[in-house]
Amino acid sequence: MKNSLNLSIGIILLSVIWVTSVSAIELSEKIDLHGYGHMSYLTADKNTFLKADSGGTWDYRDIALLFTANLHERSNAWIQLHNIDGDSRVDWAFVDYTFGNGSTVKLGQIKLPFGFYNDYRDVAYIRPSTLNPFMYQDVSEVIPEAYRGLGYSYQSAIADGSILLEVYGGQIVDFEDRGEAFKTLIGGRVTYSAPMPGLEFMASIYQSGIEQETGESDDIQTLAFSVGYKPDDLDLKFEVANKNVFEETIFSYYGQAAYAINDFWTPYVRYDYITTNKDKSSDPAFYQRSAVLGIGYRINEYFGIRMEHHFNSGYGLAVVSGEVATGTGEKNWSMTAISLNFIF
Amino acid sequence: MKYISTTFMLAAILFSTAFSITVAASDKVVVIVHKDNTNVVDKQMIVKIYTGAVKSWPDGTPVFALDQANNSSARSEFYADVIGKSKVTMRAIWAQNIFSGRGLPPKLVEPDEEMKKLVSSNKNAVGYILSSSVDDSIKVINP
Repeated sequence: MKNSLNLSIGIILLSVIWVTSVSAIELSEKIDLHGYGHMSYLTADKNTFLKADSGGTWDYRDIALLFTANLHERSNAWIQLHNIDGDSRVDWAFVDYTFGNGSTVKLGQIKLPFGFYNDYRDVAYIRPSTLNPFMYQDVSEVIPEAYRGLGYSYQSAIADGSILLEVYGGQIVDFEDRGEAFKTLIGGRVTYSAPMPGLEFMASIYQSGIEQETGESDDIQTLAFSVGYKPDDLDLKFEVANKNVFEETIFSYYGQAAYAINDFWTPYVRYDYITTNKDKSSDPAFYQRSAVLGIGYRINEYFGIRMEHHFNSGYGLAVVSGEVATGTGEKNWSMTAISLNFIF
Repeated sequence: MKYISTTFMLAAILFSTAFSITVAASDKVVVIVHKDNTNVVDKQMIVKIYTGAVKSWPDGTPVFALDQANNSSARSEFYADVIGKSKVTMRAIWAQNIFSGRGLPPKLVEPDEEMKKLVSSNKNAVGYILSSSVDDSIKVINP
């Protein structure tokens, strides 16, 4: 299945390479093809994280194809195929229907709505940096990428602002195939867009359960609060998330600022923190802090490049990923990431 | 002789400038809807439609939004003067909408004649054309 999916994606990619100057490819009057991808070089001066060590790695790349079909004036079908470091999967595949009051129902495998970035955390061209904030990184396991089930959203004006309510239920998709079984998932996200242009407040929550291969099981509760202010060229974000499972708490927050100097250059800074076990948060093996300095250059509306440096303290996520053993990592270390991103 | 030539040149310059201004003013971009669309539409509504924030008209019927090609001068003027956002900002907005599964961008059509044909035949459609292309097959709204 994986090999034939890889071959299919490869054939499609070869046939569309020469048309990269278009916004989307119209396969028919009702079916469009969009896509994105990135290739990154990562290096770490000490420790090993995301396969990056002092020798560096190019094994941080992906490419995705999104097919959309307009079924009806109120309904669309979506399917996204994704190849990450050579492994292919179906990211999401669902059908939606929009009612007259502006509410929308989705059925299928759907990106889990949580925080500012989870809906498009894989899309390097539009996310804020090469490496996502810790809470959105796959290795942190704070926020699942997708669920299978039913989702409902409703938007309404409120005073001079607006509120978007999203609720969903189903089951978490286990992309890592860890042999874990997830129980029924329910969750929601509320976004309030204030009358002040660009100011948003958000609360996200999901509850599920997990049973590991060992037979051990527990409930999962994850909650996040988010504030964003994006008046025009300035983009400020702050988010905090808390996840409880197996009597352990994963706690993470970040604050980020980006400023589009012009249509081409966008420098950004971020302070990021995560503890993979709040009871052991003073142990470098159970926390990771990062001060990030980066700059992005938009070559055109299809290609962009980005370079960033991470000044890290603690190696908690490297322990979670299995790349560093507890007690053996270097507390103070740094990483550099350079990426080429594209979208169509 | 020299005085007459200079005066003639100045007059020619002024006339051509006035003429070009007149042409530019008459080619201003206007927003159009079907003649039977009775929804009250303001600028905020148009911005919300073209940024994907709303998918329905106030009466609950679905919006069928139309757009022109990237290299169209009417498109540049529409997004600068009516929507008030740069090409880069719009790209980012729709990339987020598309890749988060929130919505699809307006359908691209050939300028003016095809735009008018689609808007005049679909009660839910909204688009934009140059004012010089306006006729009585569609209704112009002033957001």
